[in-house]
Amino acid sequence: MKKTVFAILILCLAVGLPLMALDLQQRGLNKFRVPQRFAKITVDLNTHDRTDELLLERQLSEPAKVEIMMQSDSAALKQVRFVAESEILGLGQPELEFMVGQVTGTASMASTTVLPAGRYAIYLTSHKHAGQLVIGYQEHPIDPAEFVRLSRIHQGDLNNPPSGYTEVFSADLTGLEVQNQVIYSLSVKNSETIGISVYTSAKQGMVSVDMAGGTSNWTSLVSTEHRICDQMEVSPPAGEYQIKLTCADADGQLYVFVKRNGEGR
Amino acid sequence: MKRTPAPTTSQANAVFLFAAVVTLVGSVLLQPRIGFGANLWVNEYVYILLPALLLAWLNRWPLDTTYKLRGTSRRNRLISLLAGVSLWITAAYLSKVGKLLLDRWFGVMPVDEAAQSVSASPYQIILLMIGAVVLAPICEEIMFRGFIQTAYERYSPTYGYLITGILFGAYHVLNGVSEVIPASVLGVGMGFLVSRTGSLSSSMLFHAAANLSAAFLGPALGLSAAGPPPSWTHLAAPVSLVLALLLLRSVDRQPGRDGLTGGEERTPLKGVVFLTLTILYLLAMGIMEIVARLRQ
Repeated sequence: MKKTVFAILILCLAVGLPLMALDLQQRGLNKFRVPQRFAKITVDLNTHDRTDELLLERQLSEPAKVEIMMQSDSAALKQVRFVAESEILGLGQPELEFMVGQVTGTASMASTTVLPAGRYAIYLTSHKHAGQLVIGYQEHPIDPAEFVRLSRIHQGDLNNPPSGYTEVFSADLTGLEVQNQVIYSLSVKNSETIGISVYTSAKQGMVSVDMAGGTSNWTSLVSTEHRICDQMEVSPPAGEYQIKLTCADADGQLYVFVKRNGEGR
Repeated sequence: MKRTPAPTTSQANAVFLFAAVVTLVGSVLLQPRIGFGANLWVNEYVYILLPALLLAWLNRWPLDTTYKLRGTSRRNRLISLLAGVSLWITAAYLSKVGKLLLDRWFGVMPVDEAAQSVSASPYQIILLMIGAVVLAPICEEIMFRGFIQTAYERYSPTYGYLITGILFGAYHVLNGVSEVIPASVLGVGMGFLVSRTGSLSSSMLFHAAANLSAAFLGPALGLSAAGPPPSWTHLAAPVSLVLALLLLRSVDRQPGRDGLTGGEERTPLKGVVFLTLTILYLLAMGIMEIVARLRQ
């Protein structure tokens, strides 16, 4: 009995220690998942306090779509400001502000903006504490016709989907009161890339379109402050995902377009 | 260090206090970094098994007689497994009712999302399963039924398994206040088995069967989901309790099952101090959970 018990304890260690090592290794690999297509800035938050410290400054020679995504392994809140020289399409002002907490693995804070030619910059305000902040950014030049299309959406003409996208939902938001109502469900296969475009012209009240499923979620794809989410491409783990609408005291309209290979429901 | 011929209640109380404190401190520090599964392994090997084995080695206690680390009959082993599953149903019911009442009276317990995200890997799930079904039954039985119960059996076998069962339940306050009564019920059941059979193998099998049931039968029977217990469990829980009692009473008594004596006539002052500190500490843990629920 004694020998059996100690043999089991030793055998468990022989199995358990490699499992722990594999788990630690996997967690280290998966902590930050910035796709290859992004240029990456890694900030060590432990060096000093930062107040509006310039992290990145870029000059766009033509209109462009700028994607940014942020991840951090530190739970402390960090303020990241994305500031453009002129108005950002889909926004009422030339600035976006993010409060980044602990976001790792498959979760990230992300935003896609369309900017006219000119300068944009990213600033960070953060206290000194252990951990890192990773910011990925990518610029795609937009052809003039595409820029005109987005400018139309910015002016309130929402039914202007990009090529290949189909409308899955549209509604007049005036008088609509819903909380996390599922407006579209989709079943995602392994390695499938889904394109999502959401536009709203709401300028008052509360509007939020979120996508969730499995362990991944994307919140506030659009809101009254951020009215255009154009061609956001995601490759989530296989599973069931839902696009949900929360709306109260809002005005304007909402359009949701999706591009995918499989069939939605 | 002065050697004792058998575990004393002072040693038992001191080791229990040590295990209760380091399990909490260790879990707070390690769990967010290494995950639930790996943290359970550290708890079982380092804070629970190691002190009991270390004391046995320092005092030269033979593990087979002092900690009852010896086998029992096939019949007893089978009965232990069945009793483990049966009493688990009662314990799972009590746990659900306890959670429900605490949720109603004090609010819902906040969820540690950071720790959950660390623990959601397949490796962690495998570690958790092995830890719960193999390691916990071995390590906790050596510590509680082997070491602590032997110390308390110097007064009487009944006193030994009752006190140890309650201490085992109190230790589980770290898993939540609602776990104290169910774990005490299981603890008394396992203690009774060891007292009757004189063998830790019976309680290890009981413990493994109960934890295996929690892992697989719990989700299948709807006893792991949030919300009130399924209506059928209002009848199943008392029936399982009666069945478990019948099974426990039917185990064969084994020779050499009497507790060891020597080294301590009655619990000395330092033993009482350790026990008092432990009770205060565990009460504080329970109060902290209530406060966390009220703040949520």
